[in-house]
Amino acid sequence: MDFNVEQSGAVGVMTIGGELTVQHADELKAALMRSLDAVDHLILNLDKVTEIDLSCLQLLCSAHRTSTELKKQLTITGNQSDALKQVIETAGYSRHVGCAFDCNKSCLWLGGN
Amino acid sequence: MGKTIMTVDDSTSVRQMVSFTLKEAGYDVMEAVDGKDALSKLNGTSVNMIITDLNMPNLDGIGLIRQVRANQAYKFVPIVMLTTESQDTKKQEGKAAGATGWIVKPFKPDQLLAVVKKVLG
Amino acid sequence: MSGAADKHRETFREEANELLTELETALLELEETPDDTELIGRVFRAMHTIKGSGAMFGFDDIAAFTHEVETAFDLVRNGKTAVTKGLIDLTLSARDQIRAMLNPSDTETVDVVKAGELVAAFRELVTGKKKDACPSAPASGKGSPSAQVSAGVKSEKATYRVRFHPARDIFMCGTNPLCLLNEMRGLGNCRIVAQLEAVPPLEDLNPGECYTYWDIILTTDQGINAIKDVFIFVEDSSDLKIDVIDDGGRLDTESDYKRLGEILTERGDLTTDDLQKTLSAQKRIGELLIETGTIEPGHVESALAEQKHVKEIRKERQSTESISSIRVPSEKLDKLVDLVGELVTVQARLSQTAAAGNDSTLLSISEEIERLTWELRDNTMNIRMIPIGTTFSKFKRLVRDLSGELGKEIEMTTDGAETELDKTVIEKLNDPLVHLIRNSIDHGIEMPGEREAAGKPKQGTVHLSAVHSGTSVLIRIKDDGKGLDAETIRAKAAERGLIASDAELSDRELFELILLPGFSTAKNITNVSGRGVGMDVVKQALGALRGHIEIASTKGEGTTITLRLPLTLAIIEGLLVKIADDCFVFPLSVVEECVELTRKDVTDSHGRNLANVRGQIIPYIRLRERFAIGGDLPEIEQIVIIGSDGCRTGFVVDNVIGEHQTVIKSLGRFYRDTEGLSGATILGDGTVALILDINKLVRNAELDEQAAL
Repeated sequence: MDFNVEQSGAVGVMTIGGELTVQHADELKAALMRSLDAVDHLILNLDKVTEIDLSCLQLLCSAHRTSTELKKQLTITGNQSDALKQVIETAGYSRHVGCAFDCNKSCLWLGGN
Repeated sequence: MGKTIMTVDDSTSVRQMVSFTLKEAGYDVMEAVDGKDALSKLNGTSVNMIITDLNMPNLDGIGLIRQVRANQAYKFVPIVMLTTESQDTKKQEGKAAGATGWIVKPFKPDQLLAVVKKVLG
Repeated sequence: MSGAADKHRETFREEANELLTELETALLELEETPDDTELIGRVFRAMHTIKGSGAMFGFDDIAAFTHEVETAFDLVRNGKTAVTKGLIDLTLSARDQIRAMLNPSDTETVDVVKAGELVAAFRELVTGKKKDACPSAPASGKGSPSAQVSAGVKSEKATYRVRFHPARDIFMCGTNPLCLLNEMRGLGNCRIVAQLEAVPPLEDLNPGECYTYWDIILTTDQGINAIKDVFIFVEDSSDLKIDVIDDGGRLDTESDYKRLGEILTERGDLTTDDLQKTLSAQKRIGELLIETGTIEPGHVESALAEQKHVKEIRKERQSTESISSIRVPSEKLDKLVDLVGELVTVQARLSQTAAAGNDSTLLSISEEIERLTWELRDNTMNIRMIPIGTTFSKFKRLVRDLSGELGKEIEMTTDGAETELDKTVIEKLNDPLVHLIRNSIDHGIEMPGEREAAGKPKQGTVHLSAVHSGTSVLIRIKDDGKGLDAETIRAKAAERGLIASDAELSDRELFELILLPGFSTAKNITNVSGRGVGMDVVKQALGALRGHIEIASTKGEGTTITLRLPLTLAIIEGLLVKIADDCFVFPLSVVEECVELTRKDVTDSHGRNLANVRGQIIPYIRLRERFAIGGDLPEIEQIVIIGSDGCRTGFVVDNVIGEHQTVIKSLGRFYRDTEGLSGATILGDGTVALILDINKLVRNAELDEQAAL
């Protein structure tokens, strides 16, 4: 896994690539916490993710919850990579209605079938 | 990208059969004769799965599982143990040590592959 | 694989022999130092390996025998019994016994009696010492998962609701839950909704733990054990709940499924009290439950998925049930059509009678019968409809073979294979289509070199399509070949005396000349076509089907031939006419108009059978003469004008009665060859009307005229 964060004002773009698997989950969690602290709107670019497993999917969900608690925004940008789309589908994460925390209708898993 | 599976067994014939079956199915295979051998061969090498016998000299299967799980690099690697019907307590012990699943001996090649598929996806 | 299996067996034999040698050494050493746990461990492992591997490679007798020795040494290992000289002796004998079983070809033969004695001796040793220790019963019901899978018996399709709540530490034992979910998907039609309410904010989250659990709706014919097998490695540590929610329709045939609230309470996601409270609010329950925060949105999502899933599979089941067809010999269908035809006839009589009388009850019954009869007729006709696709696929082979023979590269494409036509029409359509396709391949598509020179793709295309158009079906044969050359046709037709050399004809009229008998423009007569007996045969066959043929072509670009066919041959719309007391029927599809023919018109035309209809001269045929019917001519006769193949011809009759639903009956054997008649029908009052064969009548009139000249 590799990632870098570009910050301009209150907005940060975090580009993550490679394998997002349970081995790297701790590292990813720390990075997400740091970034959410630093900006008001964190945009995740996951285009370069080659593999993502359940632990990291869960982590993204958790990060989104954290952002709503902090009254901040977390979004995933652009085209979702096939790897991500497929895992969301496989894991049954796709939603029609966001969760109870999702006060600003920004749930990451909306859409799909 | 080929996935690597390590087979650990002190019985040459079982090791040979497991290894042959997995290679036929397109996996890369590493062989080890007992727990100790397995640990020294692992030593940082990336493996996707370990299939281990339980009764082995030097370091048995349970001991191997414990040590593998204790290693940060192999914390989440699937480990399948080979057991016999009479070893139900061993099976529990293995699961407690962190085994992912088990295969009961005797087994046939396609049963082995079914379990590998179940665990590796 | 048997080669590999033999190899594995041989390896095992070598290995076991080595182990037996080691075992002997270990046993002898053990006799010296009976407390050496390391030695005891070696003996146990040797036995264990021989047993385990033996069973793997088919040495079941060895495995069974060694099991007894292993059991004894398990006790020794666990300190439940001591190493005695007796035990060593017994084990050494056992070792020799195993060796004999392993190498049956050796000088020692397998002594079954001795084996039995040894087993008995070990058993005694074990039972004597063991008492409380648990007997080595096989693990109950939890065998190898794959063994159960392979033994899985196909059962009826059923739908299961599975809630899989894995242990938090499931990642720690190397399990990837996604693999299990995919395995579930492999079992059948599956919907999976993850439940995420337990996922905490980042600061409380341990990324190595699993907070997600799943609701899975699965329709499978593999049975509940197959589902349990998926989770066999995790069932002890996880919460797994499996319910049957649809058992394949044996009990529940309605397609409606439970209400949302019902599903949620059944799952334990909602209490009955809360449900009652919410229901009384008269709003969509799902929205309301989420709004009030009574329930997790994820639970509603999953319950909705369940509802949708079950509705879908029930619908699918119903449709498959209704699709399921029965085979009926076609004669039975023909008979049915006959009977319906008669019913239609009788119904017409009934209507006539009822209308004539004054009985309103009878009239209303008659109307009822009329409605039912039409419905029955339409349905019956529908049964005989079959898709034209089967015929299409036969032509693919034809195209392939012919193009190979001629050295051309031709691809055939089809469209509308599902278009339905009366089975008798399809049967009779085969030959004309073969002719037309052969023509396209032979005359139409050029040789590959020629095509390339003309800037076309090397491979030619013949496109066959069928489409419904009103009460007709249009079948098109379209090629991208060289097209028809109007000038060549004109020259040829003039040469054959078919047209005057200065005749002014449109392209379309010229093209239609190729339908005339004896017309062929192919320079070389090939095996495929070009003998000049193709197109007129096609035209005739289509006439018999009450169909038409239209030709369109652009030079250099290709030709399209369109066949217009009626949907059915059994019942047609007809125009009923009368000559003296006899009734005749024209197929309504070819009738263009009816005009009066007065005595004055006849005298004006000076005895020639020509009528002036709005300035157009139309030749007519006197059916009265044609069928040699006597009696007086009425003052005003009627001309029924038929448009057939682009030219109009009139038929003079006494009276036009009107449209008539005509059930076609074939003529009896004696009348079958009667020229100019294609069948008969029975009218409401029981009289017979003859159906006219228009094309034949026109042709005969033409022949007569030529003969008269």
